[in-house]
Amino acid sequence: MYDKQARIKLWGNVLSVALIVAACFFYLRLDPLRLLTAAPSFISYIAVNFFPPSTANINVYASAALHTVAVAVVGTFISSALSLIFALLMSEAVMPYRAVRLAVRLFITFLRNIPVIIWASLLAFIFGVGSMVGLIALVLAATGFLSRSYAESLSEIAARKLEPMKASGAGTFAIIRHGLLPEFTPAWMNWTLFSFEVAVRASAVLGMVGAGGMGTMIRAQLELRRFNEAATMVFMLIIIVLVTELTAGWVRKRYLYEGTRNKKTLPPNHTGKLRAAPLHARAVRVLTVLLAAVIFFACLFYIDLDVARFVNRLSNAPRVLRMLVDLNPAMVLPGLRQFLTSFAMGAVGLVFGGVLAFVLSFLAADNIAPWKSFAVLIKAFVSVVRAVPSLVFILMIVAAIGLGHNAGVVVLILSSMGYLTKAFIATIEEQHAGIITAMRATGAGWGQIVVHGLLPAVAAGFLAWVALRLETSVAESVTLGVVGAGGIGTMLLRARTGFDYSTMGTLILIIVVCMACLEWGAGKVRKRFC
Amino acid sequence: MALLEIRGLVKHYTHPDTEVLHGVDLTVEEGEFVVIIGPSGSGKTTLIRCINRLINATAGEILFDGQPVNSLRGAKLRKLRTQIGMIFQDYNLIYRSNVMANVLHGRLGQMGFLRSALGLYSREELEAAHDLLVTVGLEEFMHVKAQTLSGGQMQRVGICRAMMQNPKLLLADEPISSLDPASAKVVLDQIKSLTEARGLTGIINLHQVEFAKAYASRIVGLRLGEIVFDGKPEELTDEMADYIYVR
Repeated sequence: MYDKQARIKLWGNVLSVALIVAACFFYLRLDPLRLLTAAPSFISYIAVNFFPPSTANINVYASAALHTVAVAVVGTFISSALSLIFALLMSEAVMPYRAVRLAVRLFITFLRNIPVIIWASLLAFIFGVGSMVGLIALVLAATGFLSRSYAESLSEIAARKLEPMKASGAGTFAIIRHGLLPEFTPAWMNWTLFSFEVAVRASAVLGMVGAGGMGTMIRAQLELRRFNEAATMVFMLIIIVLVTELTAGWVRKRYLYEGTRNKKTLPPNHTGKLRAAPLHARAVRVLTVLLAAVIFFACLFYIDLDVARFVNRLSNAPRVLRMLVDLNPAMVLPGLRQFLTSFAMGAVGLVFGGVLAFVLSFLAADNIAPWKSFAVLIKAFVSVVRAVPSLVFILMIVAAIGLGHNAGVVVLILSSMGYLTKAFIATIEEQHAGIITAMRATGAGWGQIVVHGLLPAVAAGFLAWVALRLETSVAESVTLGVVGAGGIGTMLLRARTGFDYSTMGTLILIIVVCMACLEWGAGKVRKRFC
Repeated sequence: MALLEIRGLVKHYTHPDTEVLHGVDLTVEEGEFVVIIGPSGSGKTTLIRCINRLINATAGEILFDGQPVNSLRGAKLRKLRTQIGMIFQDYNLIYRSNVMANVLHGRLGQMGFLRSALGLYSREELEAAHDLLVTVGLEEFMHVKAQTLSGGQMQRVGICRAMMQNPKLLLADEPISSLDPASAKVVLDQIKSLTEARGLTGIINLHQVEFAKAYASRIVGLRLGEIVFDGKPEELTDEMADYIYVR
C-alpha cells in the first residue's frame, strides 16, 4: 500500500465505483433520505403489524411448508440427475466432439440465465397454475446452475488421474464409472446440497407467480393485509431454511470430511473372504441409495403432481411458443433500457450491501470480533436475513413503504448484505491465525489489525465474492420486477397481463442475452482477481 | 524377434511449435530392464508415451510384439494397451476409492462391459490383487482410502495396478521423482524384483544416473530428442553422463 502508483489506482477504482453508484442513483431517481429512513420505519412497521404471529391456521401452513420442502427435494433429485448427464456431455474427457460440447453448453447457458421466477411465470402462463409448473421451473433453473457447476468440477479432475485406466486399455464407460465419478463425488455432493438450499427458498416463492405451495399463501395474506397470518408463514419459512442449512452442513461434515480421515487398516495376517470393498462400506452404500429412493418417492407422492392437467395443456404449448418467438423488434430498445434499470438497482444494492457486509464481517468473524456476544448477534441476524427470500421481503416492504425502485433497492441491499456477510466472514476466518497473533503481540489495536493485517490478505477474496454476487443481484433485481419493483421484470409482468406474446418473447431473450454477457464479464473480473 | 522395435520416431508438438523427438531408433529385447536417462525436456516422457499411444507420434514406426502400433484404433488400441502396464510419476490413484479398488483398476481393460460397470471382479482377480499387495507390503491397507497413503505407499499401489494387467511390457515414467530417497529405493526395488520374477520387460524413465546404474540391465541416454548413449551400465562413463545432462 506504500507504492504510490498502487495507491492512485486504488483510489481511482474507488472513485469510479462511487461515480457509477451516483449515476445509478440519478438514473433510478432514488431518494437517499427515504432509503435511510426505510430501515427504521420498516422495522417498526413489522414490530407493530406482524406480532404476534397467529397460530390459528398453523395446520394448513404446516402442510404448505411440507409441500414446499417436498417440491425442493424432488426438483433437486431430478435436476441433479439431468445435470450429471449434461455435465458429462460438456466434459472433454467424455465427449470427444467439440460441436456437441458447445451445443450443450449453449443450452445450459440459456437455462441458467433465466431466473427461476421468470421460468415459473412463463410456464404458468402457458400451462396454467399448478404444482407441475413449479416443479418444472425449479428443475430448469437448478439444471442450468448445477450442470455448469458439475462441469467445472469435472474438468478440475485432472486428465492425468484418468490416464492409468486409459493406459491399461479401459473403455470410456469404465473410466467414467471407476475413475471420474468416484473423484467427482465430493464436489457433486457439495454442489447438490448447495442447490438444495437454494431450491428450498425458490420453492417457497414460486407460488407467488401461481405455482402453488407456501408462496401463494404468503402473497395472498400479505395482499389482504393479514399480517399476523403472513408472519406465521414467514417464521416457518425461516425455520425451514435454517434447518435445511444445518442439515446440509451436517451431511457435508459427516460424509465429506470425516470420510477422508478414515485410516482403518486391517490386522496383519487377517483371514476372511476377499472383497473389493469391505462389507460394511457396501451396506452403507446400498442403504444410502435406498434411503434416497424412499425420500424421493415419499416427496413425489406428497406433492401430488397435477400431471393429467399438465398433459392436457401440453397441446397448447407449440402455439404459445410460436407466438413467443415471433419477436417484436420495437420492444428491443425499451426492453434494453428496462434491463439497464434492473441492472442499476442490482448494482446499487450490491455496493451498499457490500459496504454493510464489509463492516459487519469484521465485527462478527470469530478470529477478530471485538465483542463476542455482538458477533453472535450479527451472525444470527444475518442468518435470518438470508433465510427470507427477497420476494417475501419485497412484499413485506411494499406493505411498509410502498412500491417502486426504493423498495426494490432496499430489498437488494438486504439480500446482498446477507449473502456477502456470510461469505466475507468465511474468508476472514480462513486467514492464518498467525497474522492476528503476530500483530496483537506488537500491541496493535483492532482497527490496525483489520487495516494492515487482514485487509491486504482478504481483499482479493472479497472482490471475487462481489463479482460472483453481481450476477445474482441483477437476477434478483429482475425477479423483484415480476412483483412490481420496476425494471425489465415489471415490463414482463405487464406484457403477461396483456397477453402480449411477442413482447414477452423479446423481453425474455433480452434477459438471457444480457445476463449471459454479465456472467461473462463477471467471470473475467473474477479471473483477474483470483 | 524383439518385443519392441522403434524406428525413426518423430514427435512434433504444435503448441508450442517444437520437435521433441528427431527420429529415435530403439530395439528392446524380451527380459531387458532398460532405463532411459536424460534431463527434463529431452523427450523421455514423450518417447515412453508414444509406445502405448497416450501420445500419438508424428512420424516413424513402432512395432510391439511384431504388431504396428501407430495405426491402431478403438478396440484394437485398447487390446494393445492391456498388454502394456504403466507407472506414473504422480501415481494418479483414484483418491476416493480404496487401495484394493485402485489395484483392481488394472483389470478394467480386460473385463466385459457389464462386469466392469458393476465392478464384479472374479475370485482370481481378487486373489491376484491381494497377493500383489502382500508382495509390496500393503496388505493391511487394503480397504483404506488411497488419499490417506504416503507418496511411497501410493506408488507401490501404482506398481500393483500395473502388474494386475499381467502385461508383457512395463513402462514407468519417472516413478520416483516425487519421492524421498528412502521410499524411492523401496519403489525401485519392488519394480525390479517384480519384473524379474515375472520375466517382464521394463522401460523406466529416470532422472538420477546413480539409480540407473544400480538397477538397469541397459541404459539409454536421451539428449535433445536424440539417443546419444546406448549400452551396459558399466559402459556409462562420468563424461558421458555429464554430456547427457549438459544443456
